[in-house]
Amino acid sequence: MSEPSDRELVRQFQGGDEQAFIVLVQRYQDRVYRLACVRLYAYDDARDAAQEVFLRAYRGLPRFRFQAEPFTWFYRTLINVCNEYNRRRVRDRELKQAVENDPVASNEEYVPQEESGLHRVRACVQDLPERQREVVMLRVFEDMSVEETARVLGCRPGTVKAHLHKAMARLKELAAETAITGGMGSAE
Amino acid sequence: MPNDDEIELPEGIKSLAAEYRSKQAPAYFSERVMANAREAGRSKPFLRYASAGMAVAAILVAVVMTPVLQRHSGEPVLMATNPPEPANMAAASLPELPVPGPSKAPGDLSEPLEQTAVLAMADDWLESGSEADVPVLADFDDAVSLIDIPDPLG
Repeated sequence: MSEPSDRELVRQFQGGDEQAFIVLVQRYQDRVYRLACVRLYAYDDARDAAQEVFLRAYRGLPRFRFQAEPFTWFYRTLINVCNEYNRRRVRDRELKQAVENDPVASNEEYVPQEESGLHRVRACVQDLPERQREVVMLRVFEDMSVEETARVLGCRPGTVKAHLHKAMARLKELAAETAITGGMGSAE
Repeated sequence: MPNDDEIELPEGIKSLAAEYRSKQAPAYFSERVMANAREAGRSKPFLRYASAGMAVAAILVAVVMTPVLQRHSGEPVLMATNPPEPANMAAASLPELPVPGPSKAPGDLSEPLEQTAVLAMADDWLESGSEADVPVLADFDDAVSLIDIPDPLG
């Protein structure tokens, strides 16, 4: 028997089936967590942000009107939550700097050793323009199809391909300049 | 199978992507999400009941206080025990407006002079913000009698 689609799960959840929501969380928790890790500097923040996305989904999905795919909703919520966390982090740093007159701590202190792969992904995409970065993260790193990526980003497949073409040219340059698997980790 | 969707990745990025996809959410992530969601959901019915309770209380206060306030102002208390006939209801519920002094020219749609003056006085009271200065008026005629209406004919 095939697995229920996201839309079916949301409908079941709207009908009061909490188990359907758990299935949705389990289906997307890794993806949402990884994307949060790349967008945020602290992995504790990434875990909390990913959790916040699903908590908002728990509250918001009962009113979901199926004008987009459920993952599109998760993804847009994730971007908003990560932006909120990053703004808060900048504010906290400015406050800390003002109070203690300490130099800004390096991002390195927030990165546990076992997460260095995610750290290198961030180093790899951080210089790309926002839209290209989103396309690379979904299409290349999350291995989503061009159509899926276009649906999530709310654009045409052709636009995704154009962004990807430009981004890949830049990534190939980077790969040629430095051995990404080794040298990019310290690029941040 | 060759696919239009396929992209050619540099070797470094290909291995990095594979390493990236191997990362998983922390253990017990979904359990923690559900525990927090249920926790948040439990407080929601309480808020819903609390707001419903406040609405009921507001209605009760309005029902109890309206006759008291009407009695205080000297107006007859209108209760639903003896409602007016539907045909007379409009006439019974509307106060009689005084006939304006000077006759208006045909096609003059401006408000009666007294009514305009009453509204202007009400605006003054509202702007002054002091309820103590506002006289309690028994009816519309009393209100009109308080106002010095200029003679429109000079």
